[in-house]
Amino acid sequence: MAKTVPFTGAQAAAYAMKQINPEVVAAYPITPQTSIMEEFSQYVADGDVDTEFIRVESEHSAMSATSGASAAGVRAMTATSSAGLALMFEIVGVTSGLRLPVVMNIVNRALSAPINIHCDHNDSMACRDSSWIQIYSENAQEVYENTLLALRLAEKVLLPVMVMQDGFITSHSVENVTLQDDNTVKKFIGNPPERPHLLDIEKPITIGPLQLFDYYFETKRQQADAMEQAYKEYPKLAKELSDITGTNHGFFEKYRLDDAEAAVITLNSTAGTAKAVIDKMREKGKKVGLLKLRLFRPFPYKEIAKALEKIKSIAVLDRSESYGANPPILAEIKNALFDSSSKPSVQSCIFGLGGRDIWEKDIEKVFDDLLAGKINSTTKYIGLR
Amino acid sequence: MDIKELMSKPVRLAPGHRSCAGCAFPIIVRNVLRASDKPVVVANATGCLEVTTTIYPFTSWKVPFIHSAFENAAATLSGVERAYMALRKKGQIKKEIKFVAFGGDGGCYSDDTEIFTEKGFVNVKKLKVGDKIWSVNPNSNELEITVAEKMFKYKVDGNMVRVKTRFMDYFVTPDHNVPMWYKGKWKFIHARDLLTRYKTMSLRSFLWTGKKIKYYYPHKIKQIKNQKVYNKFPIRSWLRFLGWFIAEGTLYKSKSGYLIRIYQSNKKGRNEILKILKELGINAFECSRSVDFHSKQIYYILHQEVGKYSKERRIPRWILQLEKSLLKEIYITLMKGDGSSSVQKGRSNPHLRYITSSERLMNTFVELVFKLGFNCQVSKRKDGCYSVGISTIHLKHIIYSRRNIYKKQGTKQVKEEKYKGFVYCPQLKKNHTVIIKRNNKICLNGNSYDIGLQSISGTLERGHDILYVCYDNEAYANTGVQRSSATPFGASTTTTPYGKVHPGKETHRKDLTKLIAAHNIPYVAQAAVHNWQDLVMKAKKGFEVDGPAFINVLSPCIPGWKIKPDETIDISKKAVMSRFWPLFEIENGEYNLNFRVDSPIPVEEFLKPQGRFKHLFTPENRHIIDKIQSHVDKEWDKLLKLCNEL
Repeated sequence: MAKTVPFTGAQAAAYAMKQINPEVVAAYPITPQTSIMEEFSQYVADGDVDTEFIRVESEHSAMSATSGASAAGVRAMTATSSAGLALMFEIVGVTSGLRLPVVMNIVNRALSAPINIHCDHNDSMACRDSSWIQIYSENAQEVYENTLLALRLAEKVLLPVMVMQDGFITSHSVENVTLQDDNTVKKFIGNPPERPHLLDIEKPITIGPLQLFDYYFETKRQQADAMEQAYKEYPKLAKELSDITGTNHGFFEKYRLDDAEAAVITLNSTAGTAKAVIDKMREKGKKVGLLKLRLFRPFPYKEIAKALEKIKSIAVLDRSESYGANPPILAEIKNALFDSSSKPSVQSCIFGLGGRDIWEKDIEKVFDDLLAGKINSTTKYIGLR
Repeated sequence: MDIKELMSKPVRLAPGHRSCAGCAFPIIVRNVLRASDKPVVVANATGCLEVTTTIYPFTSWKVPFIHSAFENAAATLSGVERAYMALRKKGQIKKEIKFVAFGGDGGCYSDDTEIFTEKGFVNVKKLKVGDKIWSVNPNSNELEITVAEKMFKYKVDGNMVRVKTRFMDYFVTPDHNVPMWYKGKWKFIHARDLLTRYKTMSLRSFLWTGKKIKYYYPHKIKQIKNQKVYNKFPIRSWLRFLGWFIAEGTLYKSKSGYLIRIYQSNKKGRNEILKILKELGINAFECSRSVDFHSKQIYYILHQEVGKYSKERRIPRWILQLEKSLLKEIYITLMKGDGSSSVQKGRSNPHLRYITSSERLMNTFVELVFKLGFNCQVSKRKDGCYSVGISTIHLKHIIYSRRNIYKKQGTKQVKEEKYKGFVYCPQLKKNHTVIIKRNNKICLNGNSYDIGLQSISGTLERGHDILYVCYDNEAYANTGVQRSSATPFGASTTTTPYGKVHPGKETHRKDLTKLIAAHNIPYVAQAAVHNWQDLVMKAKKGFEVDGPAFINVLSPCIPGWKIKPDETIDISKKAVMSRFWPLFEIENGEYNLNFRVDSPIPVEEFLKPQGRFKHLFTPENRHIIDKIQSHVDKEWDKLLKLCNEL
């Protein structure tokens, strides 16, 4: 039987890990990911999981040990944020290059310098080319379900998956989360697939060889194919999960978008705020809507272009910058719209860097400007003093 | 192990790899992998070994092999080992599998010990980085302040060494450095050596120089009408006065003024106090049991510097910076005020004792006593007062005898004791000696050194059941022979080439084996490629031991050392025969020399065949060879002592 509990995003992630019961978890603490690991440590200490928990001495070693364990053929997970993700960056690429189905929870936090513990998306966005599947979560409920979905997807296509949530905003705030019972989850995640691994002594394999210009390119093409496959498998697995939990798990969520004249595109917790604003404005008769991204890699260009077909004006809200170029979400949206016959006006907005709050009135102003046609090519910085 | 038996074992690293002709590591890897009949999983860091054996689509490895990145072989293997343990626990794997990582390059107090810091005695658990600690400079024998740079804490469950004499008590790990005064200078020995080799030693007095001043200039304040203003005091008289005041003085503030009173029921004592006050120019009057005078100025000075209430009394810091003869002045009158002496039956020297209720005074008094060259014991009485027992005679003895023995002989005062708990190690910026107090006894003691190496260190500390083999080719060979921390002194590499100004590498190499030994893992060893019997024996032990094991193997490199492909084995032999690369093991902390070289060849015979040392064979660089030789000799002596091979 499913039960509803008051959980933070961190607790939700830890509970999903508990139900998955990976054989190995190797992690190093960093704010605001620490809560996930501390929750999980208690499960380990109480014997609620069989996991071998390696308390490594750095994030670089965390990803090394996690990928070592995954290469040994078992389920391996970890979690980190910000500078930790930056430190493990070398091995992030190694993990996806070695096609290891690792699942990692990322609690989004700003990168240094300056040093800041609060939320923005520059950490995970910096890894968007690393060949990891990336799924963003609006709230604790989505964190819980995305983690379970991530494992199925990773094991289906043999690519590692990152599941994101906003640091402090989602990770440390309590919400109602509906948890599925252990048997339902066990059935959904199933058994890990048969794959070649290090502990198969009868059939020894060499993992991580040297590949030069004569073979490297082909290996990387195989990785791109795996991403293509992930794009095809995601909706199938998402539907399977949606049928169990009732939560929508499409590529993205359309909130009152179909007849909207102005739309906002964003991801993670800000989508929740936007939904509240949309409801208020709709009551006043304004036709506004939201497109909330979930799957960021692989990016569903075709589906997004279709969803935005009839929208007249769009504001893209990025909680990260790509200095000297279009911010990440804007770049992808413009890409998607390039081949589309309809050409809505697009306003780029940057907000929330380093944890600067975004308020309902800020989003209301964004919609009002869109509806009034006040759109230009200059990036709007929301909430900048 | 018989060579025929060895050669009949399955080959786990197949021929057909791309390492240089004459390269040592295929020999090393094959020998190590022959040492266990159990299935083996190999992890490898980026380097010559990995690059030459796994060039896609071929692989030379007939066993499961993983390469992840440059600096994380140990961490990667930790993950593999834990995955194996997880599956074993679930019963999904029944086979026993061994894990080995091949990588190229890349003493403590029990928790009831107190360390003497600037603020007095502090429990070693409470020490923090940045704390100022008293220590003795082993070269000048001077008492100096140093700074705690790092704090280490280890769990111990086993034997530690307990040294207990009348004036000394310490309880430390067997490898703890103990300072010893021998033949006119300080040296450090291991605590465990006290069990077998050396008689216990006493504390020696240290040198304290300190400042010389002639006058004390009292701070001036807004005066009461008609009261005398004091401008300067002769320092000796002031110190003598302070001693009396700290011990027996009180301050009273009332309508009639600011009163300073020194209690003294003894007439002789009162006369002496009056004499001192006269020297200071202070008009005092004698009462039946005290000597009194009024002065707002002096009242405030005493209040601020020495403390009004008895519990907060202390010796002002500026006085503790002064030189010995001045310190003696205040010491004498302090003892006259609060001290006592008693003669015990059968002893000729009186036992001096100082009693105070103020912790600060106790700490500053102890500092005073050390600087004067005495030793003391501190105990807390039932009434909460501190009793400082002073020995002036004990410090005269600093004789040690070195016993030439091969059997273990304990002494009454030194023994092994079981300890289960944490031990603490402050790492000091310099001197590596501290003054410790335990069970009220205070003595000088030694300190421990640094630990590096992230991934290996973490893996060793967590206790994974893996064998780490470092094939030491003494440079970053794979990327073109740049220098590493394993490169020996004087070697020419591509980042430390021999040039007009700098003759190769100018720092000595890291002693990795001893560094690893400091992790207290069950098995550490140093081996070389030419002695295959020794290497296989060590690899066998490493595989069989329960927990982490580490072997550092000398691996000559043809392009790196600039030798001919057929010289690998010969140069490895020369490395061992010149004592440059000793072969030894450390099993559960016990050092064991595997190959004793009594008639060594000069180290230049090892250096000469190598092109990387060619530049040293000129008259102007001769001194570098001499330096290398003396370093090798020193390290060999150190090692002999550790191995108890004298």
